Amino acid sequence: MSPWGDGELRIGIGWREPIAGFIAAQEELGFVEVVAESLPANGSLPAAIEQLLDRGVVAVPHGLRLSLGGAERPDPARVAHLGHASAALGSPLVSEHIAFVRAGGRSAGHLMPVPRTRAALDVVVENVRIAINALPVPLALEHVAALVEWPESEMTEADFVSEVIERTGADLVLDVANLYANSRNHGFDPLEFLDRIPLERVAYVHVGGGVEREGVYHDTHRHPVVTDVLGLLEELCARTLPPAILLERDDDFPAPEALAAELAAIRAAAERGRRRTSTRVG
Amino acid sequence: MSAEERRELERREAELIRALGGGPSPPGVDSERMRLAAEAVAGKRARLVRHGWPALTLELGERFETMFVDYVKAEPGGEEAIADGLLFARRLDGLALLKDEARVEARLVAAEWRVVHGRAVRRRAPYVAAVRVRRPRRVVLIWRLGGRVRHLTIRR
Repeated sequence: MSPWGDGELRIGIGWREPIAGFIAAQEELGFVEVVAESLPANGSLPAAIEQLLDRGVVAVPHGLRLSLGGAERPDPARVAHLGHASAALGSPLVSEHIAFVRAGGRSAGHLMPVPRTRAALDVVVENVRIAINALPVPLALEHVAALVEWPESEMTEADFVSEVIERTGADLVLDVANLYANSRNHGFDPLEFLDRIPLERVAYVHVGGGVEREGVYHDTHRHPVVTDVLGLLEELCARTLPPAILLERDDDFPAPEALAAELAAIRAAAERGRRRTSTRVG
Repeated sequence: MSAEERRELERREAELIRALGGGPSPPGVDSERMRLAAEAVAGKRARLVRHGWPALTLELGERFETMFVDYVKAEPGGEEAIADGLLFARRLDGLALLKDEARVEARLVAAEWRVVHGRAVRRRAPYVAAVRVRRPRRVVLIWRLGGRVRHLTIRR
């Protein structure tokens, strides 16, 4: 069951102020994601986003600071803000992360990975349930890219993510760039990940750019999307076609043509995957 | 689920955050990877602050990176770029490293925002500050009343 309603595959892009003009000029735009914390509490929206909504573009609030993977229960004010953001945007869903961003009175300044233990899983599940109960629309959760790995992890990332999804009823934001980064940096098979997670629960897909440095792949969102990530997207779409796919670009924005070419490459990869499915079925 | 599970998770996650600020790697976590993660996160935060603080960036020049890493090590940090920028500027000010245009910039941002538990929240109360600038010699008055930040330069 898709929160988007039926329809064609939607291709979207993360709304960021410096590329507001580029985004406004995209006629085929399927949806945008708006950083929830960037929206004011009074429900007002930037004029550029209002104009997209007037055109019928779906805008999904994407939260970064709920810290659902943190030891503290989610702050009701932050959950309420995410809910208000969804109301202001009229969005069919909201998204957040399986990650923590603060602990011990300090801020990480980034989305950090949760130790994949049974005990931590219970904490995440309870946090997510608290959030879901207070949100007016369905919640989708994204797994994050991480350079470090916890030694006490007892489960694969695929199993950890799947259990969070299954036990909470949340949907999944599948980030093929995060999957690529973790599979490369921690040495696992990304296709096995795709085979183990509940693909029917994917609300939408993230694609982002990155770069290799010192033998490690960094998911930067300020470099071009690498070919292998598009390859993973194709593999995903050969298994199941997700309702929507979004490009994340946060900084060092390229020329409009380059950004448009990345959106086109994403659509092409999805189409290649879809053709493989129909070949198999037919 | 027990409170003990939450406490244990808090302990481990706090270790990782301290390591991001230059502390030792949590036991069992690869220290080389930890170093790369700390560099990546500090670099990202520094880049976001630079975007919003042109005068500060100009003032610090090549020292920006080092000073920012010092800040990340010393302070709990902001949750997003505005809070990070304000806390960074406040630290530099405390070290008497914030001069002229960069101080004016810091007061203009502070007239609009304050930091509460690492988050930037819009200031409700009125704000007023005077900054003495050396070159050219002048005083810049900055105030916020009725939701708008204004400033006035007085030549001397």
